[in-house]
Amino acid sequence: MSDILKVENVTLTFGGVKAITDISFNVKEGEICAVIGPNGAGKSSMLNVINGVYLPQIGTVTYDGVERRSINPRDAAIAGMARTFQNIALFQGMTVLENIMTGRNLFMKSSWLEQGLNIGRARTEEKVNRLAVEKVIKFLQIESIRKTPVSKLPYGLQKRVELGRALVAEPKILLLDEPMAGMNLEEKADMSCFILEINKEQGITTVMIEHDMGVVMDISDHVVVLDYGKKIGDGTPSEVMSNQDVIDAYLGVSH
Amino acid sequence: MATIPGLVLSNKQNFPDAVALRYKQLGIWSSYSWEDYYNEVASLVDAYKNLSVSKGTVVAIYGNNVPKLIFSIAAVQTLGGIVALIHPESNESELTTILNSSKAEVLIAEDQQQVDTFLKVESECNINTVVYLDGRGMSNYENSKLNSYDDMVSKSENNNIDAQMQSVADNDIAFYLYDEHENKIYKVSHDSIIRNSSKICDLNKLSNKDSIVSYLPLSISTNLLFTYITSLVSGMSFNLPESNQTIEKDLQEIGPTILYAPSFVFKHIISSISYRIESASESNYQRYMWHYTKLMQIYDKEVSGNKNLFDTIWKAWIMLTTFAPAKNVFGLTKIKHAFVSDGVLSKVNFNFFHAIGVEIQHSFGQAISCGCISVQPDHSVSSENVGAPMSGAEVKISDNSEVYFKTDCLGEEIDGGTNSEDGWINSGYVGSIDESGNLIINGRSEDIVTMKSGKKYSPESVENLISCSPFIKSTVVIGNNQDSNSAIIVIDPNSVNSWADRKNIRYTGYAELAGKDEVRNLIMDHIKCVNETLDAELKVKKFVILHRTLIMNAGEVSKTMEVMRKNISKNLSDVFSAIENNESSIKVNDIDQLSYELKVNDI
Repeated sequence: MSDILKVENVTLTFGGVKAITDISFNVKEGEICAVIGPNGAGKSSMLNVINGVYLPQIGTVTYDGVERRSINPRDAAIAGMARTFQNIALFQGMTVLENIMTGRNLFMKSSWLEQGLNIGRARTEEKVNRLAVEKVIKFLQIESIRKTPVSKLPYGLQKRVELGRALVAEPKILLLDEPMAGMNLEEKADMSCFILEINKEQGITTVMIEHDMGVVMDISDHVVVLDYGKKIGDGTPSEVMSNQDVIDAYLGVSH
Repeated sequence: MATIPGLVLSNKQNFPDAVALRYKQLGIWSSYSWEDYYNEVASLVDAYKNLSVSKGTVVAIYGNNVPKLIFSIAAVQTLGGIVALIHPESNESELTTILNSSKAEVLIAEDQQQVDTFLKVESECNINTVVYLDGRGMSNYENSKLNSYDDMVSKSENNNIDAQMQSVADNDIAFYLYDEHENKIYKVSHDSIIRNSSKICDLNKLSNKDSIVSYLPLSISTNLLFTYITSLVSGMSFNLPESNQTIEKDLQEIGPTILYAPSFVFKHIISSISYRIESASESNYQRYMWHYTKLMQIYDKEVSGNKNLFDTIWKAWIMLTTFAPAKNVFGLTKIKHAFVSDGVLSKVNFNFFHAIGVEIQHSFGQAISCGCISVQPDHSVSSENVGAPMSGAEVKISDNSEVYFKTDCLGEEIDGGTNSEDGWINSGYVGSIDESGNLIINGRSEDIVTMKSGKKYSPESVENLISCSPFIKSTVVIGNNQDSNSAIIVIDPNSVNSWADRKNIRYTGYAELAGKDEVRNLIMDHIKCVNETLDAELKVKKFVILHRTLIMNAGEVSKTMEVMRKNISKNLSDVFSAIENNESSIKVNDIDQLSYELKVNDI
């Protein structure tokens, strides 16, 4: 399979702080790629570089055959990149349905006036988009909380809603930032099932940052290990497991 | 008289545009008229014919109430086939029993859950074709028996099936119904189940203007009779909720006129009200409590005939400000008849529903009696009986209080025989008949307990009293060969959660909540109240709060949430023996491989 995403020699600094140093890796089409590493290793920054939130000082990101140093986040979304965030970034006062609906923003061509008055294109668009949203709601089994404001939901469900919002954008590649942080065992199992199903049945390439090694080893095809902004491992889960640098980084060795 | 395909046809001719089936798909209510219903059945008839379903073929339908499965029932029967209904949560052993004793050849399964359960026992059954509705998660399954429903239907033609529908004979077998208490299958003809349903329709004047919501899968025979068959006989609309989790919301949106549910659903409504009130603001909480007390006082006067004009005005005000909105939340505003399928509601709950204008009617029946023998009439105010036998049915009580019945709508055991003595059939329950001829059911005969003193009684009667608290989900009373009764209590997570939040009690999960001293005191106070109403011998002296709820899949509760004593005593043998040996605490190694420390509390 061809590489859908290529990260080449990316270096990102904030003033004097080097967040990412000269990192390269490839993501094949249709795989689940996990990016792991201790706190502050630069994982979230890496994701932010990929979808254009941060502009790296050196290096390029090639996505879908187009090489560039930076991309506007909106253009990244149009090109088929969707993501979730480490700290839940939902509209707390809005319902689950409304939140997921915001993920369809790219598919809405009608003007704000049409939408405000519910006339013209807005009406037909609403129906098409609602259908897409409902399909995702069914997929994620959250029918019973469709009309519940997000602020009233437990953390695990909010994470699921966030995944839903990313999914309705019909992405080619899904970037998940710690999809299972703060979840209990059962919620993790559910979330793993959803991620696997999205990947295997819908064929969406997934790049995820995750701390739970059990989950990473179980569901990912390819693991990239970062430590202090540098790449220390890259390969299949079993290769990475036996890599001495990775073991040191996780078990702790003085630097 | 009629057959199920015949009723579909006549409803299509009589009211083609009336709503036959309403269901929620992807968040939007959609409906089928009787005309659409007929067309769906017609295309399925062709599809099932291609699977070589013909006269006498047994087709097992394994899933929840979804339109595709509902249409399949009439389609299979149009071809002369027999439908065996299986509960979606049935485990491997139950599935094998049903498939093998019914000699089913075709299995229609809802989704991966059912297909997986089947695949585990595939080699033990003679199923040659499996049709699944929802292929999610099964894209890499390579079993050649598996067929997708959508593929099957896309190849079928929509022919006129009037003649085929009319050719089904009244005495043909329509269903194989499974009775999980007896672990037996009964065969039921079109004629007997439809005649039984007509009796219910006539008795309660049900018409095609009514609507009914089906809470539970149709594999529960009483539910099949009261919802599916009655909707066909009367022509009323049959409504399907989106999923088990959304029922409350769906009920509110539909606002049915007929509610049919087992007692646990009614109890759930009460405990939902209670936990919502527990988490309401202080002023609303106080107002509700005050109005509730007042309402029940007025209801008592109403029953005894002492209600005056002032009470009427008071009640109207209370209803308007408090209970009418509460009824609306649960979709009870338009209810004309609310049938309870199994057993009886406790007096407190029964009176509460009557007081707010929801007329509860108890009923009694099993698979062999086509789902119903007796039902309470409208405006009955007795919470104890299950009504008088319907026309064509008779009931007698044997010397050892066992309930025997005769009915003209009878099922037969699958191998042909019926266990009857001069036409009287043992229902498996004990009970009595009151002075006005109403049947009172006390519990199952096999559950009857003999205490050390020689006293015999049905533990269900005590359990019902204890379980009427909104904080208690189920109760198992142990008294066999004991000096006094003990109880295993399962708390209701929802209402106890809200109560604990209100009291600022911190906990991490169900097991910890169940072990809290505060919760123990809450339950203890309730049992003390119940004890005051019990005979000295029956008083509950000890209780244990269980660290988990009872599990349906392990057979601890029936599909209608009745406690299944045999399996519970097997799974919780540690708890039982600790109570019997007067230990003060129990270490339980449970089926989840973890161990818990439970306390035996003395009252």
